[in-house]
Amino acid sequence: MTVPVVAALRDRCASVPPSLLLSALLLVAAVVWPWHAWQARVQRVRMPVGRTESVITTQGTFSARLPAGLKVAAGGTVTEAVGLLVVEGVATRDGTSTHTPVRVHAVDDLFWTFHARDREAPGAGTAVITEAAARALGAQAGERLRLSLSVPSDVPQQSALAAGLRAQPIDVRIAAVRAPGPGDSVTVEVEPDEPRIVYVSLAWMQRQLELAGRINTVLLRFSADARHDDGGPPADEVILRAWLAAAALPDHGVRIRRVPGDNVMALDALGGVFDPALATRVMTALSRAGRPAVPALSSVGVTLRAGDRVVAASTITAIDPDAYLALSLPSGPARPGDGSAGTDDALLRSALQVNVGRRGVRVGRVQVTDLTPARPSQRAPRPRTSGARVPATPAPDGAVWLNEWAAADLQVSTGDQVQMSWPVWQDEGGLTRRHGTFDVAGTVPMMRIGGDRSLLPDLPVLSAVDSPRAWPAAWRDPDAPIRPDDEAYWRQWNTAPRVLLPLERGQQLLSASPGALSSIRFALGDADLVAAAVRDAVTARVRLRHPALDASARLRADLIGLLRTSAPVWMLALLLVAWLGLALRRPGATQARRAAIFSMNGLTRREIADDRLRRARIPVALASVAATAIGAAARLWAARTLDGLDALVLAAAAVLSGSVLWLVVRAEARLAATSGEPPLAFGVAHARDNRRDRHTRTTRGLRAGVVGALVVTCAWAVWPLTRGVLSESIAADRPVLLRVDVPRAVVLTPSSRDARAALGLDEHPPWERAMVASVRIREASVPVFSVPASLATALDLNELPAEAVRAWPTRWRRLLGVPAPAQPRSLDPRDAEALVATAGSVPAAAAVLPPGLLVTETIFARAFPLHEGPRYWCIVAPRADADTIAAALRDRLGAHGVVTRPPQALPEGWRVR
Amino acid sequence: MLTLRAVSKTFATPTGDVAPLRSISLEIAAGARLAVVGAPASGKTTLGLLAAGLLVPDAGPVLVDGCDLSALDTDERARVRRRNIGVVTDAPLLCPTLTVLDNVCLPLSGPVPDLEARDQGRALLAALSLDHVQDARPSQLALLDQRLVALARAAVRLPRLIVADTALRGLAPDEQRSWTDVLLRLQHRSGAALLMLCDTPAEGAACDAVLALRDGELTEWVR
Repeated sequence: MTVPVVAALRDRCASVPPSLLLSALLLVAAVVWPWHAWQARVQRVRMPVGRTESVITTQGTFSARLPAGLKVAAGGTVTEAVGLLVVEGVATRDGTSTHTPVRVHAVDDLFWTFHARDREAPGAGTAVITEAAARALGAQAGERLRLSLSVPSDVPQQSALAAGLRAQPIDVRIAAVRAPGPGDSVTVEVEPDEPRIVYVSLAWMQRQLELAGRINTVLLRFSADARHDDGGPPADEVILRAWLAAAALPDHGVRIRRVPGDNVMALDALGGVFDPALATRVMTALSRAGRPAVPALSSVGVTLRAGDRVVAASTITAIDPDAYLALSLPSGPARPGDGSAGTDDALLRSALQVNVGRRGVRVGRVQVTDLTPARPSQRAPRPRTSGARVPATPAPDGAVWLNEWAAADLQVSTGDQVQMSWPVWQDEGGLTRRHGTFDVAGTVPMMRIGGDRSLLPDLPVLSAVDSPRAWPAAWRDPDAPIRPDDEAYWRQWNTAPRVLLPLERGQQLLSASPGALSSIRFALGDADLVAAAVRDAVTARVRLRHPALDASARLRADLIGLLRTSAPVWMLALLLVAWLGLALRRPGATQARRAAIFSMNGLTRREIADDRLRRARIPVALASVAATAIGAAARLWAARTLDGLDALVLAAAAVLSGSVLWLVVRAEARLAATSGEPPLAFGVAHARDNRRDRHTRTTRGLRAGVVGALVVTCAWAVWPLTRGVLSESIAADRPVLLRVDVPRAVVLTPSSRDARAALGLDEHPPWERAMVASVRIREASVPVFSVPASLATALDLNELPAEAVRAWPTRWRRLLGVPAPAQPRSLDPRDAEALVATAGSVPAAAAVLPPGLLVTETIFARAFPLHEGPRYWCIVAPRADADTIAAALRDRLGAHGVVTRPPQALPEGWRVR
Repeated sequence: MLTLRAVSKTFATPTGDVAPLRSISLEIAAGARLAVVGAPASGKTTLGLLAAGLLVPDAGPVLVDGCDLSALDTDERARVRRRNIGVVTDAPLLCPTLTVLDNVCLPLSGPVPDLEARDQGRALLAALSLDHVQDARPSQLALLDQRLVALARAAVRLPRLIVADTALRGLAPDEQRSWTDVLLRLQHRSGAALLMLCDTPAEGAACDAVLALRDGELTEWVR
């Protein structure tokens, strides 16, 4: 029974035209291949997450005891919690220039227990790396790696303090390479590619990074009862509440202490600068309670000059003297300069006292007169006193107070001028030194604030060194060598600031962001109030993520994207099948019969083939036009635009598809002409010509060869196209590129040098630029929406290529050698037509917009090179947070009168590199 | 005009070789008519295909107007066939997508006839009183008309040989007479040799001679 069935099938298959076979293969490939890609994607996304349900991270560090405390505080909600250090960095294979970005997981046995994996915790100085990392590096077990790491720190990356915190490279030996199989490589992030991870010992890495007892990531698993109805983790509020209950103040990046020698408390930022939201919350809480508070900002690396005398490696503190005096000194009027000023308090008051109404030196918001002769310390040289006098020409940069030691060292007294240089973070990255000339408004005795070594953060690299010579080079002034006197001061007073200045002016000079604070002093009884305010504000410091949910959401989005992006391929396959129904609706026997009739009437094979081709012309043309139209529609649907290059690509695709179809038809026609079976046509079913059989076998072989060649050709043509589509889908899952329509808005960033120059902002420090730009734009009736330098700096814009591309055109541009289209003139902020009707700035944008978000005109210009309509803000945001960020941005823009339309996620084909 | 000398043909079949023709020799002069009568599967169609150059013999030459078809390749035989041979069969073998006129003109200038070919075809159809169906499709015609159109197509180039392979099969007696009359008129018009392959001797009554094909050999018809 089997033989006739097989024979029948064979006969049927023999009559299948090659184009039908080709179309069927293409259709199958269009379904099977995305499915295969999808399965691989599922493996790649879901498996590395392991058993982690939620992750708590911070830009600083937590106590290593926090996970255990969190389990207790959660009261059974959290069943497992494990801490680790996750550090971004670059790994370089020893002895080569091969390097790759990696994520270092410093873990202990608990980490592997958490994930129910074999315990392979590497020992000191060794590492286990994932196969993806090994492949990227070309490394194998036994070789050595050099890790250059971005050390987790409470110190903001864009600050003068952070500039000195560059970790030394760490060398490790590869103990093993983990296979990429399910569960073998565990990471804390959902990554689009195979994770490149270097696992090292937690304790060893903590020692290497001088972060003993600190972690920066906590992995959580929850009890079944606590999980959400859909199996997901509990609500964020529940987790954060438990975290708040378990976390100590240092876990929030701050500490409260009593200031030695002073009758006040201090809230210090462990990283040197408070989070703006936290500082605002604390100041507001104290203000509402009617309690005094003294904000301060300190920095390092100050050099003082007076004539030929130089004081190097000083620290500096900006403080509000009025508030400080009100907080720390007994109330009551002071009589500076009188004979009763023999106490320390009186000396301090007289040095900083406000005394309005008398002729004096302008110091920020206060007038300082009746200058007090400084009382020399026991060890410091007595400064030269000059009595009360006023300089003929006030210094352009304001006035400062010096402590007695500095004044004596410089041999200056009140009313003299000093030159000062100090490091600040610059927009372009790194530190630059600023210079200024200041009046000496007074000398502060070496007590309390005059000798307070706790005003600066307690960073080992800053305060635990034997000499300022050991400071990082970024903090030192190359033109001011450190003298023995400086080292002597260091030994006695350590980081006590030698220079003081008013807070507002200090923030202008020292900080890239207005309102920055490093310490808040408050009264002894207000510690609980401050701690409560801190706890209210700290949720912004931690980030809570749910990798498993992220993976599921990402996979859902991927599937949709996969279906959307592979739709053109399916359409093309379906089109071919439909074309077959139109043009090749006659089965093979009919083709052979027609050929037999023609042959019987004396037509040659060429004439028969020509007849077939003639009849196929219109269907082929229609098919090509239809394919082009479908391709154009798909492109328009995906990219919202069609440019000249798209038209070129589509035309080329039309020609290609038409040519392929024509070749198929031609091959079929020739085969039909040569395989026409006159005996069959004449009804002689049994007659089989031996020679014709051989001929038939030959033609069948030829047909198979033609089909194979066509399949290979089409696969070659279609593969990069579809691969591009799918890789876009996969690449696009990292960020979502939103666009928020901002009618006629121009976005300035510090990277927009031309725009900055056009508005004359270069002469202003970064912190002023937003305000100055706003004022100038308003004056000139050319409002511009600006982004404060602090935001741009925080986002590290200057480190990014800031290039958004459409991958398809770029791919084809490269292939065709077509240059990218030039940016339209309207993108130039100096172009009046492009300027806008609204003004404003985003002073608190940094609080609204989380790290990783990108706002830049350059991206817009690259992404929409031909766009001449309304302007957009393009935001690269994590997919999960996209809606939140977009809503926050719209609210923020709305507060400044900018009318926006709802954000719109750009299609998958768009990517930011 | 048609000469076969000791022509043989063998087919391989699943049940063994079949030799419908064994060393057959015959000769038909221009204007002469020969009928070959045989039972079904006796080899009549094979003989017709060999004579038309649609099959190549295993042995022996097939000469049409002095040209040995067995020595030519497929395209050369097609050209000879187009120029000198007209073939009609019991199945009309009309191209269903072409009109009657286009079918008739097929040997003249292919599936897209030129004006001269069309004029020639129209004249022939008019002579056969078929001009009213020249724009119809074959499927719209009655069986006799389809056979007549096929006959017109075979004779339109004034061939030197007409091969009629059981062309009367399926027709009513009066239709057979009508169709035979037309065949004879056209054969007379072109002066072609006529090879009629018949199921019964009556079908070849109009021919000059009647032969029988039995066991692969030609013999004199014995009534």
